[in-house]
Amino acid sequence: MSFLLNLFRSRTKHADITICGLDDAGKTTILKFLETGEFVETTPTMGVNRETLHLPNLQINVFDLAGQEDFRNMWHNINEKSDGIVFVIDRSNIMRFDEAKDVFEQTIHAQLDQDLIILILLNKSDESDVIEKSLFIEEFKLLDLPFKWAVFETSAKTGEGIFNAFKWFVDEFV
Amino acid sequence: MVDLSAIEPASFFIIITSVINMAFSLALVITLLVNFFRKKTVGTFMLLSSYFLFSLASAFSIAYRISLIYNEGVMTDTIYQIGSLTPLIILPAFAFLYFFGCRHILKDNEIIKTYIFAVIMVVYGIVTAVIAYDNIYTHSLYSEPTYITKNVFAISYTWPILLVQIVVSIFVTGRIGFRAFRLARKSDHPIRKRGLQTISVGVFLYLLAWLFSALHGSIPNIPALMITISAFRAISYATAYVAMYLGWVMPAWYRKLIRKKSWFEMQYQQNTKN
Repeated sequence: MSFLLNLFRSRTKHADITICGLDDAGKTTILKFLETGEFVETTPTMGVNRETLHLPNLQINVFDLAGQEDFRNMWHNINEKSDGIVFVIDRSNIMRFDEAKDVFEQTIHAQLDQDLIILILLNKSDESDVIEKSLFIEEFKLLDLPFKWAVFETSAKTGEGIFNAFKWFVDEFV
Repeated sequence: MVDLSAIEPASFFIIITSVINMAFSLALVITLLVNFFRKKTVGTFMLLSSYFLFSLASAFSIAYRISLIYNEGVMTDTIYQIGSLTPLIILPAFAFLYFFGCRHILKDNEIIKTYIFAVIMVVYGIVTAVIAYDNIYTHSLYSEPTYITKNVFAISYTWPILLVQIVVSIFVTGRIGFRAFRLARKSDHPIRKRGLQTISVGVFLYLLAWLFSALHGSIPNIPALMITISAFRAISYATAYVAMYLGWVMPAWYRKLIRKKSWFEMQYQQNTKN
């Protein structure tokens, strides 16, 4: 019986992931880069963009959430069903660093699933005067996080680090 | 019992194509039902209701024709009533389709929606009253069957009822089709673009099928001409149902077909192969 069940059971795993972060951090540009492999100019997201990645034995639904303050209170509705979170930070915008930290903490502390996987992208690495990765890890107290996480330096303009970041993330689900 | 040998092959051809069309519309209703249970949204319910009513109207139309053959072309009150139910079912079907369209494709504001709904209801009220009056007193809404046992399928509504249905269908489906076509042109998202294009094609094919239906009911009883128009009508209906299924439901295999592999998917596959 179990043989028959296995025969007809879908071998494709499904995972839902959300891309969060402050407005203008580059979330949609990253999503577009995953889709096209090149830099695409985007307009501010109103609501949610959705993209599906079909990988061998894995289908990932990516939800790109609008970063403006008005939209942030709806994040938890989508995040609580997520298997993973991608948090995007504009590493060149030191002025909004504290705001990003608050939003990150709120997002992470709202999570109940201990198996949650977190990918943090220090985006806009192509710009000058950016925060160092080690300093960021320290400031955001990532070492205290109870979840599996990783930080990657990326640029949705040049494509730097994007593949490696998402490959790590996807491999965690396989 | 009806003498089948007295019926021309054209009549058989027409009834078979009608049944095939019915099967296509029923298949669309079933897929919309599955879609509704999966999504459980007001939009999917409206779409399901609309196409369920279209199928029901189609079933009544076939039942009417078969009953006439079975009764050797003799029109009875019951057969006449079965036939006259079709426009009463079709008009609410278009109302449901219009409200579905308003949720996803059309941009009508609340005032326009209310006016249009009111107009459809008034038209519906008039048509109901006319059909009821005709059923009781005149029996004149259907054109007289000329060659009773040979080409009973030539019997159709007289122009006033047909005209109401054509105007409402062109107004609702034509607007949805045209708007879907315009949205498809503006859309950058490949799946959305192709979905809207498919809806647009489906809706226009549906209108074309309506046109053939209208012709079918108004041309002289020449078997070759009847068969040709019936064939075009059947093909238009069948392809319209298939296109509308693809456009409205957008099954996973169709999405996969439209969608090319993304940059990340290609890179990931290459990377895992190496």
